[in-house]
Amino acid sequence: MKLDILVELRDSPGQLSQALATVSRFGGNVISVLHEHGKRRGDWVPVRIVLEIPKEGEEPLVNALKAESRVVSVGGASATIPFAFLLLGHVFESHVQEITDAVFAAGAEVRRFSAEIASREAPSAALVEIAAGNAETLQAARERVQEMARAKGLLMIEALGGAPE
Amino acid sequence: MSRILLAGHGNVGKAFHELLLEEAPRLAALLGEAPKVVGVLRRSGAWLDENGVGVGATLLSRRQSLSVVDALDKVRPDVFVELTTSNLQTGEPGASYIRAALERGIPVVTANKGPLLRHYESLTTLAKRKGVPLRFEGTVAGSIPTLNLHEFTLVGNPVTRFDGILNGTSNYILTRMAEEGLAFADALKEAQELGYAEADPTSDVGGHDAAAKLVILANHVLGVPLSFEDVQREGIERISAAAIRLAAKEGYAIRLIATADAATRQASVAPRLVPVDSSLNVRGSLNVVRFATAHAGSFTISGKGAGGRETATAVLSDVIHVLRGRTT
Repeated sequence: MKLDILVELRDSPGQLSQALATVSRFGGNVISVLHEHGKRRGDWVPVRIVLEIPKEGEEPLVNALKAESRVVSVGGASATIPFAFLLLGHVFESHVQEITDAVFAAGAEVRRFSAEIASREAPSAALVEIAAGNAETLQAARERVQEMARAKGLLMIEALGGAPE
Repeated sequence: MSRILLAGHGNVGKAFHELLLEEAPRLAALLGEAPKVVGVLRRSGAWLDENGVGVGATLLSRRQSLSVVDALDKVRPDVFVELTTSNLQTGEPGASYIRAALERGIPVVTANKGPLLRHYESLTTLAKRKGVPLRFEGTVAGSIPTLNLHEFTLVGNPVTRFDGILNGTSNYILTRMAEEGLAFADALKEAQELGYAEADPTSDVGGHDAAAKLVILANHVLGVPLSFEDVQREGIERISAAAIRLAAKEGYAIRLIATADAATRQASVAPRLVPVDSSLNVRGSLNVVRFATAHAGSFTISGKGAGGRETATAVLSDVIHVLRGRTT
């Protein structure tokens, strides 16, 4: 899996190579390093490391980095957890934008939105793909959408997740 | 000795009876002698013959008037095969017949969902207490091995979750809606005309049938004591051709999926977006079940879920297991 880690390293020789050696020690493969000297805070320089690592290596690596330096955040575009659902009913009359706003409010992002409007009378459909940085945020967003769909009389058809193929 | 008392001679009952006769030579080699149906019980009466009741006997020969309980006492079969009509609300009269057989120490094989849906706990406990086999592979997904797969082959690798399509009628309707852009009402009408859906299709399109099978699977495979009321259920009645078209454009099929998880105890039957290349995306009236296991990832099995003959194969397998002496 891809990780995007923001650490703060002491501005002294060898700090960066030590951090990168730690990444290798836990099976990580460095993809890019951004040493943000311009954004230093006192003695600490932010460094953004994007790396590829097997899933089981994430936790031990982050713990090791925390012991050696300051870990500011762990995340990144590819570490977000996706989720898709289709809303069916009088989607546009019931202000589907309120639902997408609620997704943002819960801390998740709307990645994709597509719709099909059959006719004025027939129900329309909207397919939404969202993503969140962690399982808790995703669950919160999902529950919020479920509540709102129920309140607006829309059928929510969720993507099937569960065990990998 | 392998004397069978058969209750119910409808779609599955008759198919089982015919299958047994067709398979007689192979079963004789397997078991030492071919099992024989020595009694057939229908609502209209009983037909008994120690030399074997013919499949056409209920039309051709005289019947006796004999209750199921009296027949169990009179015949004392080696296996009681219970294939009467399933009542999902009460599980009766099947549950009472099964209880009566188990009380008398007579092994039971059934494909009747009602009794196992409504009385799973009490019937399995009774069978265990009496040390008498109660087998019911035919209650779930017809010919696809699920319960027996779990009990025998997966005994070393617990199932933690399953997802699947357990109702062929609703899957057929969704497939036709996708293929031809039909509205739900039109696809349902077509299914009824072809005999894939009943005049009252509620059990199939409302997800009741799938939920019943889900409950039996969850109890037996996950060991979770779910009841019918615990299943969050949404059928396919609200699905539109527009929704199916939109989902397809984005790479998804809409399928009625039954899901249960051992850890969270969540269970639902609901329309879901299934990626088109998923192993769960089966077409037409096929069924599919994906098992997630504790130690070896997931695997998926699909095939014909319903049909008299298909279900009869599951019943016959269970009968063979009983006659071979498996005590559970």
